[in-house]
Amino acid sequence: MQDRKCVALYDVVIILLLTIASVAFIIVRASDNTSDLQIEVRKDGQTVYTAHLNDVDKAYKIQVDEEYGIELLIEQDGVSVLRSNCSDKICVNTGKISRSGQTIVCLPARVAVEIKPNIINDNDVLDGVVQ
Amino acid sequence: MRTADTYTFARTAMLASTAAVLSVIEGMLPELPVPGARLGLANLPVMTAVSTMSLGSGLCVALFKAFIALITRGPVAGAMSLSGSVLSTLVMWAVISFDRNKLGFVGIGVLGAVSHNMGQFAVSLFIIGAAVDFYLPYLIIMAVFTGAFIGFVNSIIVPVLFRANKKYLKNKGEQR
Repeated sequence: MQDRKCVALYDVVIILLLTIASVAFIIVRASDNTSDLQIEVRKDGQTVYTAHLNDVDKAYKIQVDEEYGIELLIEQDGVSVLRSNCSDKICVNTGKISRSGQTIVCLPARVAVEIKPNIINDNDVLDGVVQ
Repeated sequence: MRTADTYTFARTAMLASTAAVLSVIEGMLPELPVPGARLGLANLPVMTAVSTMSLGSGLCVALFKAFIALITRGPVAGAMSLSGSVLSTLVMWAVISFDRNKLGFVGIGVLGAVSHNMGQFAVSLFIIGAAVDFYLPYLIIMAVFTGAFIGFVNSIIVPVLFRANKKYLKNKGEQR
């Protein structure tokens, strides 16, 4: 341990690899500019609420978790957690999310709010064909 | 495992209390731009313990740190801290033991910080299911910075501790 260097060559390699990989991930995701988005709220891994952002005319509030009193504000351009009784308030501090892939997570309440691209599921397509 | 001598025992306890103080100080710092991210200053004593003593000492400091998180920030923070710091301790110990000094302190700090994130990521996946991966690249970039900083500080602390250790052993020899 005593003859260990402060910074070695391999350290630089590790730092560069991690940084490049992360930045690449961020860039790839930022280039995804889907405008047809839906939000999905999950509690304990189960979907409890979904909404299409394009269908939102007027901003509205919903309560998604009684235990922690989590209140969401759903607007046309995104969703945010207005209130929560959890201790760390990370969910409230996350602010408004508006892009595909972004999430708000409240770990104490085991609630996740995610924005996803609006994928038309197979049933809708079949209905369309029948009509 | 052999029983620790008084010196190791006292030093582990001292590093554990340092971790507790750093974790409280960290809680008073302003919020970071990435939600839920923390500087990870309290990982420094863990790294010092692993690099100057043993895996056991490092794990003791990590467990104490998780206990402090549990009583000051609640069960979720406790579980996150526990998983993160235990994984990070194991990774840092493995690197220190098996890399034949190929890595520097900074590299170990970075690996420790990133594995801390991974441990926490695994717990949040377990608690909530998917959908927590959005901030992971941001967290890793932050971990690279804070890990490098912690490794740098540790590269100053460790030689001092080794010198103190040598002095102690010498004095002990003279007394006999």
